[in-house]
Amino acid sequence: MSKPLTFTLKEKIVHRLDLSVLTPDALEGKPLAKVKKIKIAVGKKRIDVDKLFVIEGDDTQNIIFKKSSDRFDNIGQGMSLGSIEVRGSAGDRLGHDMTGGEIRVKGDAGDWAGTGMKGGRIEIRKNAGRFLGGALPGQQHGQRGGIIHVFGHTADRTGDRMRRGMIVIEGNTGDYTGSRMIAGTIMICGQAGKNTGFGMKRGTIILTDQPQSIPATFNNCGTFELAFLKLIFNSLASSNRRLKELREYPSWVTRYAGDLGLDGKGELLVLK
Amino acid sequence: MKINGVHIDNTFAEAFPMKATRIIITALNLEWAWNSANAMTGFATSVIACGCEAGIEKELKPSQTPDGRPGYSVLLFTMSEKEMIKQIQNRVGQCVLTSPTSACFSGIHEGKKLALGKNLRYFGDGYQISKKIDGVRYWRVPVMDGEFLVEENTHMTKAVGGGNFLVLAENQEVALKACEKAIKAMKKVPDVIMPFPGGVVRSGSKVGSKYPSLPASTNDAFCPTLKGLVKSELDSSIGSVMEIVIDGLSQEAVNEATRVGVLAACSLGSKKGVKRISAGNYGGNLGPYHFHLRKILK
Repeated sequence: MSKPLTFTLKEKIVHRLDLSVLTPDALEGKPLAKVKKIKIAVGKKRIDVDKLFVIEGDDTQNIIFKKSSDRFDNIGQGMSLGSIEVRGSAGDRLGHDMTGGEIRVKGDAGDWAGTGMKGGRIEIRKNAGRFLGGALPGQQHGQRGGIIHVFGHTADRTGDRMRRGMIVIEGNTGDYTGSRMIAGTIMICGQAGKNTGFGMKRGTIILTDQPQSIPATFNNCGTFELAFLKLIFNSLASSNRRLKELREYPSWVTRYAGDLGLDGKGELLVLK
Repeated sequence: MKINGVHIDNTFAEAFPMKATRIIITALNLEWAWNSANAMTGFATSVIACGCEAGIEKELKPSQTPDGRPGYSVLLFTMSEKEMIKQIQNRVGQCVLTSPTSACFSGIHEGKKLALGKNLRYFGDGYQISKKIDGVRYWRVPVMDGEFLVEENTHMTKAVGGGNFLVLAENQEVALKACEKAIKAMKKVPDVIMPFPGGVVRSGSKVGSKYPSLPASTNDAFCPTLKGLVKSELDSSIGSVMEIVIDGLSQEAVNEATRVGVLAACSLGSKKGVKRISAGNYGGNLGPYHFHLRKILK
């Protein structure tokens, strides 16, 4: 029986690592000897994988990074299948442009996690940095599909320029969540920061708690029972046991339409 | 072959390939889901003049529907894909979108994709909102009672239309009673509908007519009042004939509905006036599906 391909960091690193070459797609069908000689960008240098990691296992579709740190950048970049487990924290651009498969991070994730993501699933068991599912500088869109689930909190600009897909945050968010959002859905189970939804064109931000403030460019449309929420809640409840209580959530919400500066076709839905 | 004294003719029903889809309609309560489903499947007894054959397949509990509300599943059958597209759009647009609190979903997830809410969304005049959940796109269309939630597409599958059997009895009352028993039992069979009013048809037809413009006319061989006039299929003991037409998503489903229906009709017994069970066919040359009564009831 094959064992997950495990990369255990040998010693603490000073520079940032670009791990985009160690994905299930990139390693598919590669023998261990070749995997060991893959070069990884470390700062200015390119170093063989086996000089940085102890490598065990052979299942390239299930990859584990052990002793990982917040300097592990680009984990799962462009992956379309398989799974990656990060036992520790992840650096920036986790799951950048991924189209399928699953990434699970036991610790925190850096900035731009899920940027350009088109499909698959990212699970961050602690907190996420800025621009979760947001657009990289120069990019038109952030997340474009798939689902990101954060057990903890997120920093500012979560879902900036998000185009499609779903982000669920069990904790609080920083300021400007869903800023410049084009479409998609963000659900915040804790407290949302200031200016949530600022500049959003379309899309939905679901808030389980009444936020401290609603931007002035959002108008209250009243309180309704919206049937589509049941579908979203059921989908999320089936995706992770932690979210199973969503099945019991009511679909009654107060709807704030905005950002009126950009046509007002986005919405903040505050659960009753 | 006899069941409970009722003679089973050594004949078969002849059925045709059709296209079908299943649509789930939900609402705030069962009554309003029924109002919508009933309207949507209205005037849909025969493709000859209605464009499609449709009926309510079954009641759905909240746990069986996508949005957790009570509802009904309906089946819609047509002869062509083009007609199916037209019928879905017109019927959902006029009977489901308009019905208070309703929502509409695809009840089949394999086969060719056809627009369900894809075009109806434009009723939202630009205020419609798309949501993609688990890979399926839904449309939220703002309407006066709130929002109309509709799945973007349904799917079309191959189906069988025109399965049938005839109940021959002493008089109208007995024939109708036997048919009512049959329909009650057949409604429990999944994947089938009996599209005529109450599931029963009293005007079975033959191909052609003495009037050149009519493609079909009364099935004189089974009309009791013409017994002395035409080459009748009825003997002196038969005073009334009624037919049950079955459309199903598969040959097996039509088979099962026929079996259940005939057994229920025969349960009344010959002593109470049910005399024969027969079936309608065109000599076996027109439809590829043949449902032999005696084989099904073995």
